[in-house]
Amino acid sequence: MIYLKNIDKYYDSKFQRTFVLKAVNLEVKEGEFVSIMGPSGSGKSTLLNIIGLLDAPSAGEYSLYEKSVLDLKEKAKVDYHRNFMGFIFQAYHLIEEMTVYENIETPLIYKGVKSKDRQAMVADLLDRFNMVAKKDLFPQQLSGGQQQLVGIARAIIGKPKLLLADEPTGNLQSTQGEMIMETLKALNDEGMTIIQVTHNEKFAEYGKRIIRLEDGIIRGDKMNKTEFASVKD
Amino acid sequence: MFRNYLKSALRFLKRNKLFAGINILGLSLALAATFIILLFVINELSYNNGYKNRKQIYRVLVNYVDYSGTEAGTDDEAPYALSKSIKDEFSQVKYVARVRNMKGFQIKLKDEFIPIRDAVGSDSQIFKIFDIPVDGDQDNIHDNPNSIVLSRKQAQKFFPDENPVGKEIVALVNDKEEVFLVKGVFDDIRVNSTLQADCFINSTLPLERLNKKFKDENVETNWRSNYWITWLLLNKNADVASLDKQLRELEKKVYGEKDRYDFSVQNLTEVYLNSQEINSSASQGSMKNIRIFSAIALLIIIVAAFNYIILSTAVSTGRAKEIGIRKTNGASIQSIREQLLNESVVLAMLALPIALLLAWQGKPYAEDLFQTKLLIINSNIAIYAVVYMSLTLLIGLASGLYTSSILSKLKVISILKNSAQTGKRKSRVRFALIVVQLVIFCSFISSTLIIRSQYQYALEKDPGYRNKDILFIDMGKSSPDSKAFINSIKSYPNVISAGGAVEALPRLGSLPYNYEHFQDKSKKVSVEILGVDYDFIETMGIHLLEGRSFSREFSSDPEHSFIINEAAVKALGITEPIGKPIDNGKIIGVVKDFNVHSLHSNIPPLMFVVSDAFVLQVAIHHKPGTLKNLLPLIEAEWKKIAPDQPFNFKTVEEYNKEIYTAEKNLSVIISIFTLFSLLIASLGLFGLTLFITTSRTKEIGVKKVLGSSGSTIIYSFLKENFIPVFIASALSVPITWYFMNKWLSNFSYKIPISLWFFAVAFIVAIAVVGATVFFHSWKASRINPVEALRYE
Repeated sequence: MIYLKNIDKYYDSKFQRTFVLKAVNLEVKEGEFVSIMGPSGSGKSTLLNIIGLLDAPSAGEYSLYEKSVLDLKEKAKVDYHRNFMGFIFQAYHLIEEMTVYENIETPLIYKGVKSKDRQAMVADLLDRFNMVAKKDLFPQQLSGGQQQLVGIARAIIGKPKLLLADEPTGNLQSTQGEMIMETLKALNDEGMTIIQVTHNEKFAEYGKRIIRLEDGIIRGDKMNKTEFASVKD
Repeated sequence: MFRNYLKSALRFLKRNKLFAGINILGLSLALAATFIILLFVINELSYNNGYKNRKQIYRVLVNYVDYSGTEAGTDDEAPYALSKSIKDEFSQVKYVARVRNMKGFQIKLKDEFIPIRDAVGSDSQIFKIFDIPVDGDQDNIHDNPNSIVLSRKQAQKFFPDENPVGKEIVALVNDKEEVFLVKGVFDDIRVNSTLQADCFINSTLPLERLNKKFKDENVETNWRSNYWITWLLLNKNADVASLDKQLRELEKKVYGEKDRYDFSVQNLTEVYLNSQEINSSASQGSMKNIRIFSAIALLIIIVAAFNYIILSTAVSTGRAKEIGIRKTNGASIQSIREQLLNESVVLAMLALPIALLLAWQGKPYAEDLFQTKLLIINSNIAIYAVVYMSLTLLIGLASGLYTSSILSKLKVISILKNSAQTGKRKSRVRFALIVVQLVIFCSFISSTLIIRSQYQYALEKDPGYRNKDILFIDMGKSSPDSKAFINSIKSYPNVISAGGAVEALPRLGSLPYNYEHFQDKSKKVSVEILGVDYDFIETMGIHLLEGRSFSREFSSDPEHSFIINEAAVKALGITEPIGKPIDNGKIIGVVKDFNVHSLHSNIPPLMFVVSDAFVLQVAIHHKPGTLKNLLPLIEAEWKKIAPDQPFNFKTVEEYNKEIYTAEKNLSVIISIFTLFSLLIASLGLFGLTLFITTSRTKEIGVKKVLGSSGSTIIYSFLKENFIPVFIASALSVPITWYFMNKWLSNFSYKIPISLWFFAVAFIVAIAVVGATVFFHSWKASRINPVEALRYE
């Protein structure tokens, strides 16, 4: 599904070129749950942003379903954002002026879904995440974990194939973090491809595959131990 | 989609109350001011626009030609007989009607006579020309001298809830009671129309009155008695040039080769706004005022729209995150732009009702200011609504356009990384907008100062005659015995002297005659004549340079002696003027030049003629401070000579002030709008500094930790904000210079535009900006660094 070849990302200053990513090769298949790990400044978020079409690589190839997505027009990018991928952020990034319900509904509006259908879809998700009672609250009135749940709900309401999560648990206490990871795992079990960036070893273990990034270079890419175990079984 | 935008816009405003409040307040103030101005402008421009045939309706003008062949003025009143000639001989004219208001016309209601303001003597065709709907027999309305057609309003007054057609009323006309038959009822004429009528009566009635007043003139056939406003309806596609030719032939026929009057026609669309040069009792507008006011409105709107842009780009950091999120959720640049545009339109629309309320409250003050009634005219309501709505929309769109195009282009990734360069403290565009606002503000201030100074100068300049301790008494039209009046006044000890003239000084009218140049006989020089009595020159303190003044001791003085001014000596090219023959007499004296007219015009060549019979204004020179005691005495004398005439008096200062009313009004209007622009712009600046100080809390905290003192921080804020003031006041100099020079060119005597006008504007701007910025920066300078740094 995702195919990255020799991806470089660098910034030029007067006398030198600083690499954020260097010769990154990565292939992600449908249904995978990939955790990208690495210290601060290793280029994890940049890689995720490139995959999410929010940032462009300085060199290399990137294709989705064998179609190159470099040099896409603004309109085509918007189309991918609307129909193909969803984002979750460390700081939740909910729209503060909107209620839980409206936040979740927003992507559907941009997608042009009819009002009746939107109602049904949002209601379904609220139900699934046990948040029906909170639908008219504003983000500030929720706990961090609940806000992130809303973030996930908003990311998946458009039924994307790919879910990109940038440190989804970074701002959360561990119990709330676990709840979020369980939710992601469940989504993955239903067939959604997920790529997450994380600092946390324990939460990285939720992924089926763990990629280690250091100074912009992939140092390790292996299947998860537990995953191996289940394969061996 | 729209609901979603609206919701987030309203909620954003709710969360940013200060920003929204400042913006809405600024917009409302600007809109209210503009609405009032537009009310005036729309009313002025819509004048006479209600007539469907207006392009074909014309008014006959009469141009007077004096003996020397130069045009001496234009009237809108023509001879009675003209209308018949036009009807008979001019094939291009479809309908013609002559109109004259009937003075003293009263209708009896119960036992009381009620005066009718606009009782119009006319012909039936007036209804066809102006297409006025009439109930009743339209064609023969004026067959009988005693028929009348009432307006709906009058009909309702005299015949409540019944049909008056065919009924009789009693009216007082030409001081006689007569019975009139109501022949019809016409739809009320709009207020914004040159033709005004409460009822129409037969044109023979005012004719009778005129004949009575001027016993020897047969007004109906006399081609030199011009009393009738004559309206024409031309055929479609009529040729006005050929009409002019026909008028020339008519003039030749009725006046002979050496004609005294030139007829011309003026289209109805020109009548209201383009008749400054025409002597007319009809109300008139001024295109110049419309232009000045529209320009002021435009400037105010610019200030307000810039405010919006400055503020909303500043607070955009708050919005940037939301925009980033929306983009990752699939919003396109287009939809973000729409959203932001919607938001500014919503904001502007929120200001609309407040602006209407403010405008409504401010209307009475504006009426004082503009010296006109600001009517809300029913037939214009649709226009007001459309103009106001579209103006509000336009401001919303215009101010949202820039903001939205900036914000919608922000890179999502940088926003989400919190490193976005949004809400930059240093934005070049915002800087430019602030400078433009300040330029407008500074130009307003210096213009006000210049206009005020010129006004003061006009009042205080030594005109060359006594400009205090003089009282002017208006003798009225019936010219009572002025000689006896003056003589009795002179006997009071507090009266130094008294004398009369045709007009008070500075004089408003002029009566020029042409005289031959003394050296070059072929050259004609126009000299103004001023009729005075024996004491006027002395009373007014006009300085006699050589020769003598008029004196009763010389019996030849009234017809054969003349006093001229220096300008006349020069213009006529006279050397040794005393004793030189002129007209049918000789020059007996020369006076020093003085301002005969207002400061708008140069001192003309002038010739005094003496006679006790010219006196229409009496000037009384009294001892300083005695006016209060003197007035009742003079009034008592007045009652003796003219018991039934009103006693009208003015001091020379009051008289002078009246002449410069237009200048005074303009200075007041501009100062009011200076205040407005000040208010709006400082609101914006207040919001902007508030935003900047809060966004710089961290920086200030760090600076303080590093040892910066509070005053250095205040200083750095002030410095930053004074730079645009410097630039703006420099830029305002040439702009103000240009426009004020243009305005001052209306005056022959004017003040120089000196630098202090601009210096004052600069100081005021610095003071305003300083005060606005100081408050926030002082607060910022007192930030506890620990608090500031814990912030994130």
